[in-house]
Amino acid sequence: MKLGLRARLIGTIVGAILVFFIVSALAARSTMSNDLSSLGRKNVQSGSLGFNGYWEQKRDQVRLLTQQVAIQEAIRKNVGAKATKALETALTSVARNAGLSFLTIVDRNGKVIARANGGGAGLELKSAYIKRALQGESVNTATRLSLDELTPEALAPQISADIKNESGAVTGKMTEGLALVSAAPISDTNERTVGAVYGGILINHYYDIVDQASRALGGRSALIIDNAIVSSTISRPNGTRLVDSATTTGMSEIKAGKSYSGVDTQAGVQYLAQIDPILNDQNEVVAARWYGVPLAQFNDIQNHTTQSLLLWGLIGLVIALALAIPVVEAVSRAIIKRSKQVSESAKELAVIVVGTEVSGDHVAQTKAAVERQGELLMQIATTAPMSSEGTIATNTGVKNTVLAASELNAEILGDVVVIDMLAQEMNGRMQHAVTRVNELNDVARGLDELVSGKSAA
Amino acid sequence: MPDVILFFSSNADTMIATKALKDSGVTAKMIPKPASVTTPANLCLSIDGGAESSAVAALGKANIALGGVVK
Repeated sequence: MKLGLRARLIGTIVGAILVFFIVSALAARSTMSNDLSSLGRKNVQSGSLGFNGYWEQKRDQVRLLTQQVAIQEAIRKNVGAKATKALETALTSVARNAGLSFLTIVDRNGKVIARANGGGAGLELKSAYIKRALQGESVNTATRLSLDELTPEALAPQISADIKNESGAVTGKMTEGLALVSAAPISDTNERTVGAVYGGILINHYYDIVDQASRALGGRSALIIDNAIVSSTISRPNGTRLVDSATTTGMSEIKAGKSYSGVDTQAGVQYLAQIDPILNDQNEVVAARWYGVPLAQFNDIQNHTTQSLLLWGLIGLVIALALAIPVVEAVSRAIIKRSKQVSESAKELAVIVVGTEVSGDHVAQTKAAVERQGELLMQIATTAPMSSEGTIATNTGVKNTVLAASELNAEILGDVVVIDMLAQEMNGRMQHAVTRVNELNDVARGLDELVSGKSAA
Repeated sequence: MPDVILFFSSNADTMIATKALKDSGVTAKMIPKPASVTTPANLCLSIDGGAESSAVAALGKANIALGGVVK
């Protein structure tokens, strides 16, 4: 299929604009993908730092509360007097108001005097932190608490849960809890250690920290112990919190004390996530902090920008065509006009060429007729008998030859008339040809101006 | 066979027709237009009556409009 000049010019413009926008959209998408990826990583890193801030803040809060309990005059007196009932009342009040999961006071031998959760008085509290506190050290750390430690505090049910994988199958059972704990020595008026206070927050199914972090930072946060999420703001498809759920991404790095940054899928949603190890005061990894932003946020930005680019590209295409079509029309009209001029001139010049050839042929035919007539006349002159007066005597043969010569003469006359007409015709056409040649020069100049954009001098 | 006269709308067409017939092997002779023929051209072509069909075919092939034929 042959396309016209208009279709070719407009097609070229449309093609060029489309290629421009496709290349631009691809380049923008690729650049945006890299930039968004980098921006996303920075966003997640800073979110993770923020989450760590909330974690540290809660740990300091636990430390502050236990230390305040340790220095309260009434508490110190009651510890000296081993007033279990009074201490229990005071500890319950503090734990409830401050949101501590447990708060326990032991005597100088490590035996429980009172618990915020009640019961267990007289039993030895076997905790490394209590031992350190009784030696005068104030301890504040994240740690793992076993069922043996949590049961006396009536906290075992809080960690008792099945760990399930993505498909809902049980993969294990929680046997330890993650906690922020603090222990501080209690001294008498002579500054001798008479006991210790030990308190903390059990993080399993405790959502204050993750909720605060997510509200302030915008992403999702979670706390992980033993490859299981024990607290999070990640939602399942049904809207419930994702907890007691198995997770594997980045866990090998965490066990090695390193952070993990990358894509992680939780509850069927892809997140750009940062996972950091949680260390105890001995720099041992006890758990992990997970912070992530849904990857769809970045993909949505990318898709929206690409769509906008294509939409604006389409609008640009329409505007470009609206501007280009009149120009193409004008150029096409100018070229078509010149083309018609060339075509008509060529036709006229072709007639002149053909006319010259035909005229030549006709002159040749006429010359042949004249020669034949000359031969006939010569034949009469040489073969006809002559009279005594020197005139040609007529007989039948001579008469026929004269008749033939006469017919030939008539034909030659016609030929001469034709030659005359041809000469007139060709003369007119030759004059016309001069005009046409000038027109062709004009066309050439016009086309040159059209192509080069320069006006001829 | 007696000659037939082919006439056209212009002298230019008559000349082009002469060339076309020559190229296709039909002998044609240019003659002044007879008084009986009505056409703007003042030249016509005379061909042998036997070559009429091949002449008309050659002119059709060369895309030349034939004004008429006088027998």
